[in-house]
Amino acid sequence: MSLVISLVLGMGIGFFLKLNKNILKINSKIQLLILIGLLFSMGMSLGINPDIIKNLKTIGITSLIFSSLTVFFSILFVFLFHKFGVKES
Amino acid sequence: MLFTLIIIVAVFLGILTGHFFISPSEMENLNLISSYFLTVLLFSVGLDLGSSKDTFKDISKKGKLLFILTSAVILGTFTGGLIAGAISNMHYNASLAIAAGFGWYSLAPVILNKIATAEIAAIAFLTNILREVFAIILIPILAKYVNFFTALAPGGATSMDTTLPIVSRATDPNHSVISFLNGAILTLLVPFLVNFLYSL
Repeated sequence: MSLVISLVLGMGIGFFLKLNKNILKINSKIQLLILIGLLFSMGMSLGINPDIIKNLKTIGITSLIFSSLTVFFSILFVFLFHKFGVKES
Repeated sequence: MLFTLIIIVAVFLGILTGHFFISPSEMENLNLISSYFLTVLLFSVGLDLGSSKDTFKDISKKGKLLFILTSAVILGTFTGGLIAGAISNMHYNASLAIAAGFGWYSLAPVILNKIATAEIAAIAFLTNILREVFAIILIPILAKYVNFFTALAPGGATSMDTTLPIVSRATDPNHSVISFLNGAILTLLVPFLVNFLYSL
């Protein structure tokens, strides 16, 4: 919930205060740095978890099949629905 | 491509650091740090979206695209889940319930831990983490080589938070807004769908 609030707050400030291009450029650089930090800490929470590392062999392959197929068909369906469902003008 | 490389290196270094240098008792602090990062990140993405004129333009066209996107993601995810279940020799209700996490790895496993077996919950956990990892890697690639709209497909429920900054960087404000709304709808559906599909 706090995530939605922070996004909406950012949108409100961006919408009502006309921020100049320099501020937005700096914002975009900060964004990249925080994103790297977030991905790093996401990786840490994967590596820190002994259950995942321990059970990797037994559940790893099944999970890999599930994740790759769900992602693959999501991409395929979105691509096809978009291609045949929307007439871009 | 540099961006994708940076992403993969950051996640990989994180895994190594977590495995070799951090004790499991720090897990809670780690989650806290992640959620701080995410809060600041979404504020920063919000600034971008709010500053763009495109964000609030063509609302009805966005609505139509949103409907197409969300229904295609749901159908694609279930199709993939059913095939994966058939390959792994798993009953269709468990297969659909695992797929219905849409990448939200902290919720679906908790529900399945209660109503299903620990093994199914563990598979749901890893499946949905991997979905997020696939999404992080694939979004910039799809945006560059296929089209912006298709890049919104892999994220699932994470499209509204963790993968939104990646969508925002790889596509444009128009698509970021659709991505956010798609993620929000899927996030709302997860608790309902996981329970319902497992009970089939």
